[in-house]
Amino acid sequence: MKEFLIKLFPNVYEMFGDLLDSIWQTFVMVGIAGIFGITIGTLLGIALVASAKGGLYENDLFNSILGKIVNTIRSIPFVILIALMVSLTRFLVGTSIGVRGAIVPMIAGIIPLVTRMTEQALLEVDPGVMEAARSMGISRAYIIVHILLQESLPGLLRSLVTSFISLIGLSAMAGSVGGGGIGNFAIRYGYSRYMNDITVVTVLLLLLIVNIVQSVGNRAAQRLTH
Amino acid sequence: MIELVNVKKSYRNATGQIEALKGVSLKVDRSDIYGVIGYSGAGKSTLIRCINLLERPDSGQVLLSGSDITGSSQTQLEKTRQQIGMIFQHFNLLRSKTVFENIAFPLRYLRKSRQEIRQKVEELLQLVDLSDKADCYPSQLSGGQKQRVAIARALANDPQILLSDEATSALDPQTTDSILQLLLELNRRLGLTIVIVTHEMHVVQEICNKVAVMENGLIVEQGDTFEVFSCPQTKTTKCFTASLFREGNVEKLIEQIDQNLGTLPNRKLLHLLFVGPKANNAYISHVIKRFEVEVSILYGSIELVQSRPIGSLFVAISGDELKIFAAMEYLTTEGVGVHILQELPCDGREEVAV
Repeated sequence: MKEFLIKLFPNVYEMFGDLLDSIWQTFVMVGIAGIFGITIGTLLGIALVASAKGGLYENDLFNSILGKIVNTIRSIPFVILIALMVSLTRFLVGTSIGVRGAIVPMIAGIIPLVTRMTEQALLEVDPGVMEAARSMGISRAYIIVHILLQESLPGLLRSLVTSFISLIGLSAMAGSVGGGGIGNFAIRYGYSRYMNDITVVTVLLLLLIVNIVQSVGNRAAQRLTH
Repeated sequence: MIELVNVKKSYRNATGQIEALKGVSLKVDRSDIYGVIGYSGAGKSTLIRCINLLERPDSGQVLLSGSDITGSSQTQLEKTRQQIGMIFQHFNLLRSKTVFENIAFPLRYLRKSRQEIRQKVEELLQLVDLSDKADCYPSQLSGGQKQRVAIARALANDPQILLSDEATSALDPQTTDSILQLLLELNRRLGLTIVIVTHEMHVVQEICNKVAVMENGLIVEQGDTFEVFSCPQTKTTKCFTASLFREGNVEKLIEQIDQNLGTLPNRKLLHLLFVGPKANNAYISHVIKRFEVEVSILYGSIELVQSRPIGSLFVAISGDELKIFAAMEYLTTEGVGVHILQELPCDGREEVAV
């Protein structure tokens, strides 16, 4: 069996240590970018919903400015966003390449997506329920935390899953321009040196990770739905 | 208790300005069950939302126990709203929380102690007869049960006022009756003042001691429920009174008669309303003898409004036109309500989206 696998994936066997390193790098990039990107994106999503027409803190000007910024960033292809952000990235983390250099554009790339998905999830909450809460004399901040967020928890969780999957995609793309991680590994060996077995194994790995994230997320969302 | 003084409110939408309330004044006394009835788009929902300022009136005053709340700050307003419960057509329960947690929600906000919350919620569950459903989620309940939970939640802060915005409109007739009985019981036991917005005549007839009829952003008639409906003045009120007596049946009857006999040239369809002791007098035979007209009785019934009877007769009257008018005048002077039915199209529901 082992012989067979070595024969099938000779380069993978040879560079197994490197592969493990790159997997770890991907986890680091996705983890850190996820924590920052999803936190900021969620907050902006809340801000977007709260400031919308008929929202708890209705504010047309703020809402339209925020909406336009989000749309603008979202419409820039990620590879170009990386290039566009080089100076900012260098200023923030001291380098524009490697794992550290990839995290900054990954955060910037994921925020608009998280913002829009959060907005979608929050819009699912019945406005009537919030009106009922207002009629009870409950403060707006309390309504946001205890109704808006809690009632949309299954939706938010699903958007969290999608965000992480997108981040894995972004990390691979960042890898291709010198960012480290599985994507970088695949490009460096699988693509540039024609080591097809490496390409295949990295694809299988990504599939596996994405599926695990997806099914864990689905199960959790299911449990929260009443 | 509650007083609205010349309240106005308008909205802007794509087609322009919509005046939902064009200067409405209303006075609700302590322990009243005050009905506000009207077709959709009449402005009733806006009206009730002005009482707890879910809608801010453009002008006019909202007085609660004598003090104007239109100028109050957000914090003051939140305090005021805690004294006013509200229930809705679609119940508006928290889907992610159990029945117990839904009722506990306003109490948790006020940081009551765990013990206090448990005691209060159990008491409320008992009041609405749902003690066995404490751990259910709203999705596991029927519509009537959901509304009971909503009522319990609205009463959690021991309010003196309960606002009901079409609370029975999504329920079937039997469930509607059980909710109405519950409201009536709350009114009697706790002295709760209740304002009910509805388009269902049945709701007002059953439990409201006072009523305001709304049309086009204005209150067109208001007062004691029995008096308003036993002696309707405006078209809208007449329609609501007629709906009490299942006017639809009569229309079908008339169609059948027309098919069998052909339409008579000088025939008028009248809706006669008899109120109080007069209902005993033999008006119909008197009219036939004295005015030489033919009267055929199509449909008659008696309905109780506020437990007092209103008699209703749908008749077709034919004969000499002048004599018909004389007969009608005679009936009117005798205190019988006379409404010419064919001049009373009851499809006057204005389609105004609010």
